[in-house]
Amino acid sequence: MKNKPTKVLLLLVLSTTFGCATVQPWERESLSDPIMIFDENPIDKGILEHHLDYREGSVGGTGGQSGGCGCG
Amino acid sequence: MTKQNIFSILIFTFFIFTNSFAQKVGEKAPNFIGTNFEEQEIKLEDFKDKVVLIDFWASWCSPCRKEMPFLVELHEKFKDKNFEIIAINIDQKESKAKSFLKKLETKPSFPMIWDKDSKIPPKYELETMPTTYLIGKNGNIRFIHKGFKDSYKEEFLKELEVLLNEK
Amino acid sequence: MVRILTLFFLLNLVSISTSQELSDEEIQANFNAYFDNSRVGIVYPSVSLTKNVGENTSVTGRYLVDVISAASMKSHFEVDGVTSATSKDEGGGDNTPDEVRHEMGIGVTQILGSSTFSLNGLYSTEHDYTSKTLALSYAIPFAKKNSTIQVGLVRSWDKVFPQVRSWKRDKDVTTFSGSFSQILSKRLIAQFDVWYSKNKGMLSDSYQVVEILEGNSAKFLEPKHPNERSRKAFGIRTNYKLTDISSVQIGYRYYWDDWKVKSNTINVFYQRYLSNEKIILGLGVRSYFQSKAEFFSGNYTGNEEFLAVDSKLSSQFSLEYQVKMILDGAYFSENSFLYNEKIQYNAKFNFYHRKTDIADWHSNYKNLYAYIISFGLRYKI
Repeated sequence: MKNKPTKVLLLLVLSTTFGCATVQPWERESLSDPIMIFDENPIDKGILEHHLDYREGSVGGTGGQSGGCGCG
Repeated sequence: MTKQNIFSILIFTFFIFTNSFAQKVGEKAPNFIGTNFEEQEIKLEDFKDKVVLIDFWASWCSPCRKEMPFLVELHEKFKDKNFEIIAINIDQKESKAKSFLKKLETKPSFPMIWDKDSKIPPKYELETMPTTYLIGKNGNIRFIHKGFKDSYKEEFLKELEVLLNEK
Repeated sequence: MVRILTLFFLLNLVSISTSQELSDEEIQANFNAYFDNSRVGIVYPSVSLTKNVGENTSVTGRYLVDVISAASMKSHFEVDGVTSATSKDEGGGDNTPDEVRHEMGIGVTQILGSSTFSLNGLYSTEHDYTSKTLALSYAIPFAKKNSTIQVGLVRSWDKVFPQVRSWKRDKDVTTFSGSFSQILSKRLIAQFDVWYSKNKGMLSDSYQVVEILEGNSAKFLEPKHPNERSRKAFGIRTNYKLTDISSVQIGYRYYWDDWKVKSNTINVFYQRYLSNEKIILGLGVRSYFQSKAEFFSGNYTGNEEFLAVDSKLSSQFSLEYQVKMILDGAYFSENSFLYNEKIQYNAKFNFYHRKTDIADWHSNYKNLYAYIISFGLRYKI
């Protein structure tokens, strides 16, 4: 248990086993709303970030797409 | 037994435990009572001895919207063969569900419960939306579909044939 | 122990598998325009198409053109005694298009059980620059889709061959990213991001020149940046549903690199439905503070190891305001030609103000004021 891979795996196991299943699939009406989705239009996001890349010294860390109803 | 092994067993136990809430194939379908948009009561018990398809849906769920026309089609095809569909809508606003239903080419003629406070889904512990249960004539859950894809249509038809041919 | 844990992890991934949903098929067309106070104008129309091939695979194609009309940076090369290069015939400080860039992208998204893979290729070309990019990403939700882990790898290979120089150089970028999204309540979702990028090769802009004053005369040199850069960032953002018809997104990012550029970015974006949910109004503000690269300076003697004039590397702050409007095609009356339930009309206006501590090498301004206007439509197939 002292080595790093074990700790990382333990963390993954715990997160996938217990997760934070606080919100049930049938409780996601608010979360499925388009205004609740990060980067609902990825192309749009790309266009804006493109202009900032040319004018500022920083990039990255602004996230992947996610959110939504988690529907099947 | 080493500490590590005890720990592994503990994790395994919790793993089994946390994954065992949902209703499973073979179990008795939990009974429920609800009302439709016109406030008439609908009970699962009332459909004893029939093959019943229970569908949990909402207008905010994209695969649910795709599934509904297929359910209407399925119902039209098998409604005279001891088959019934109970659709359970969990929209909080009636208008949202109705506005979606209004746009359907063929309107559903099967019972539809409006469960705005989501009292029924916890009984079935859904893992995703939509979830569709096929209940045999004995009242047991026989098939479960999580989500909806076009390829499920054929599976539904086959499963339905099996269930309708059972005594 | 490691083996047992690995097994549980894999078992869990299998057990949580419920089918995933592909995003909607759509055609999108956008027209964007950028103008600023240093007389740079860019128009960049784009079109994209997303189509499903089977129920688990979707493909996306995208095409974008940048047309830049600018007060030319190349005018400096008329007095450039260092290189023997000549400038372009067209362009310059007039209104003829200075540069046209074409960007083509193609991508595949594949659903596999509960996870989503995507592979994207991008090719960009202009008269003095080409770039090829490959991006791979993998996302897996778990805990009843309350949590999602996403990892990404982006590799790009650029070639720089400026008309005013006699050389051809490469720039390679490798980027790793990871994000963890977590639903925290029925109304709140949060996302944590980590990002690392390693850049190698030609990392300066070959059209920039460093002016060195020697008494009454001036000498012009090529900028010289280190040829490696390690860039890191982490970010956190949340989206909260304020009311049934409104939400607020708050984000923070910290960035740092081995050129000693550090930055803090905060942004807030408020969205609200209007007119019976047929219109979405979005109002956003973003503020950005950056320290300078360690070798960046307002004055050079010519003896420095590195020379840089790029404003991006100056200490600066910027503020950006955004107003966005999304109109549902059902908003219009059924007789109108704009009426279509499958169409969304978008309009966006951004105002951007950047203030650098050292005036820009080319425009001589410390303040950059820019306007970005976008119009577009999204058609759900």
